[in-house]
Amino acid sequence: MKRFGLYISSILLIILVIFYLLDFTYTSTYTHGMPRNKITHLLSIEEQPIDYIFIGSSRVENTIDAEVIEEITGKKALNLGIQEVRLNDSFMLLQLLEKQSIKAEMVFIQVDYIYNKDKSSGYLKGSLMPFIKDDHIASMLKTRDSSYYYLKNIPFYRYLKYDYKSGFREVFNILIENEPYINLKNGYYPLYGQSDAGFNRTLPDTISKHNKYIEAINNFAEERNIKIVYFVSPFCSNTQNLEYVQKLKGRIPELLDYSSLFLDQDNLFYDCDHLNDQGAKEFSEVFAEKINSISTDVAPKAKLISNVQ
Amino acid sequence: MLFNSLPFMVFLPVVFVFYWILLKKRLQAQNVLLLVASYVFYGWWDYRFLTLIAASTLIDFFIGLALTKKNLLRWKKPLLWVSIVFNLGMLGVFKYYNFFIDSWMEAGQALGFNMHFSSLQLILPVGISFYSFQTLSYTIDIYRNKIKPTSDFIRFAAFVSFFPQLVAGPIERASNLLPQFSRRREFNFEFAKSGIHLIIWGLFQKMVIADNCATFVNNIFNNYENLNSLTLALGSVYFAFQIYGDFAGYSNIAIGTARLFGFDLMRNFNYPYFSRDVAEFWRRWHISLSTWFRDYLYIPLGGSRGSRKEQVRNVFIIFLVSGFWHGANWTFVVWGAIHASLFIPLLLWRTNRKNLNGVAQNNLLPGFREFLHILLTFSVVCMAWVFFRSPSISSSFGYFSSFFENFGLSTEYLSIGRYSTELLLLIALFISIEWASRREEHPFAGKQKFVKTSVALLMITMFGVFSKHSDFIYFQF
Repeated sequence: MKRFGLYISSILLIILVIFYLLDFTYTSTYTHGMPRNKITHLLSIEEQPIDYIFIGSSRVENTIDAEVIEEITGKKALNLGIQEVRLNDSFMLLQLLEKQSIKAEMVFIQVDYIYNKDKSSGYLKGSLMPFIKDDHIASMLKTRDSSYYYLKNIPFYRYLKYDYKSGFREVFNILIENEPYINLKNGYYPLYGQSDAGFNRTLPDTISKHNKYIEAINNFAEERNIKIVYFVSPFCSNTQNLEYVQKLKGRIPELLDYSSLFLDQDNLFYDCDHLNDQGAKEFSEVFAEKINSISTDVAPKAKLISNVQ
Repeated sequence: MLFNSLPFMVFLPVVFVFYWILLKKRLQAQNVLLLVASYVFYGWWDYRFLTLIAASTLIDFFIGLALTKKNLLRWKKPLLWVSIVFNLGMLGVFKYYNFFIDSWMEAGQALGFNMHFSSLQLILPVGISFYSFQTLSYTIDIYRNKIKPTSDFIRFAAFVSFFPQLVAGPIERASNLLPQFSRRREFNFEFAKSGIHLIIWGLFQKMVIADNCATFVNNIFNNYENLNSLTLALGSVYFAFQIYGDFAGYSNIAIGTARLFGFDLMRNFNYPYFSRDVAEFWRRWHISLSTWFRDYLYIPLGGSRGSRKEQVRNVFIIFLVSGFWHGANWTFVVWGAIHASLFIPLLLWRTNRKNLNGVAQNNLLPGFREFLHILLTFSVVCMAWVFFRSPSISSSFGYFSSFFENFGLSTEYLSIGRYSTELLLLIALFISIEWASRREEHPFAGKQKFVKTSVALLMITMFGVFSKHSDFIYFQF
């Protein structure tokens, strides 16, 4: 039994050494390697003047062509849409922009059925795992992940829990300098043609009374003098419960509602939630015109997001 | 409780310490502990279904005793039937009731009858197909005078519910496992170490091979209409490795865990994808089930005795029943029928026992002819897996028709953000490891055990799927 105890101890020791070595290797790779996703890209740039930033889920990432916005407005734009992002995550992205001292004249935040969801998505948290030891990022994750202390203190656990986002595959791609599938400089990821998965989306019957992150975002922006504009991206014709958007307007009166913009043009959609490349370009044109009109209403000076906690 | 879960990582050492350190040399107390631990292990998933295990245990324990009572000899057959009807009845209700009702209604509607039967919202109790077969073999073996019944209820209950193999096998025979509950167990370092090796190898098979394949397989089988021939072929190959890694992985963890407690379970897989024909495949795949069907169904039916017609009938029956055992869906029946069709020519030409020796026994690589046979066998097995994996017969045929309609051999980018060929390197590595260790029980045998174990641990940590791991496939059967 004693021999067995020693044997098990040696196995545990090997596991511990592996965890330490891999944690060090992965973290160094993320810290020093090429950025391959929007978070690592964001953390690699600092104090850059970006006039318009678009935040949201894939309904931003696949929908806003930042180049079109730039052409029409003459201003610099960045699509910071990331899959599965919710309002909680949007707030986190705003905090990250502040950390990087990135200037923005206006920040556009997509909101739709995600209004009913308070929790953050794993996707964004997974991208932040390599940087969990950074104080600023740690303070953001502390309240958002119940296993925060284990993630921070157990070597390599963060990469195991979020292996689909920050695991071996991503590290390997950084090491071989494989270019990311998204152009990180503008952040738009086009979808081509139409999906065969079916065109339907059912919006919720009811709307939450409250989403605490809308309040948090508004307070955050007000304190730092940031102009926030909420908007709803287009849905396809076969969308059930579209009246949900009216209820949403009841919660966010200044909401820019594009939900019905292309209701009779399903050819512009990849699937019911996402525009295809042609649709995204047309929508970006419409959006850019709207931004021009808003910009003339609002004081057009750029605002620096200060580095205040 | 899943083997690759945090609760099990706590559960196993706690039971181990109690078993060997606190209850050392107290056989009955160790058996009680195993019984309690097994019920906790199973109840962790759904405690309500413990009543089924308890009922099965009680009925078969008392029937077992009654079968050898001299004054009950004339009731021997009826008693056996009670055991069979109870165990298969449980399976029938929980696993097949809705299937039969739906099939009956569909058939009626096709004939123009308007039929209404209520289907039940039943959850399939995990492992029911495994432990009901295990207890059934106990009563049948007593009936056949092959074993004597035990009069120790704790031992019998621990045998039925033994947690390492309770939910997904190997399906043990009372003749092998039950006596082990009666023997005093001494801790054996080498035996326990081999158990650790099997657990690590099982985790590798499950977390590195099966779970990585699962992501691709789900995506490919859900979108088969839009994918090209190469991707669809890869889909069936990935599924072949998913189900193998999943089930062989579970079996190895089960056997390894049992060894930690001094029990020796039967081997369930013996490198099945190196088989040179389908008959050999079935001697190497899910051995505990195929031998169960051989002993309790095929041989009683007449086996390979009798006329050719009877032999063909027996083979068809055993394969169809084996397919149906896997699930209440016609896809499994077709899968069984395909294997029967591939097996029967070998039986008729009397070549079904041709490949009893090891593959490339004295060589590093197989000969060209041997390699072709392995490749051919693997290909037909993969084709049959398409039926096994598809949710319906129509989607199985849809899968094959897409293969020809969307003919193309280019690598595709799947909607999961992965290239269709991405896993090939991992699969090739796995095949190489298995080939190199094909004469051993597991790859850690032989020299440099500690180095091999360390490399496996490194690979599990780097390539294993931790965040979105799937349940073991065979839990559903």
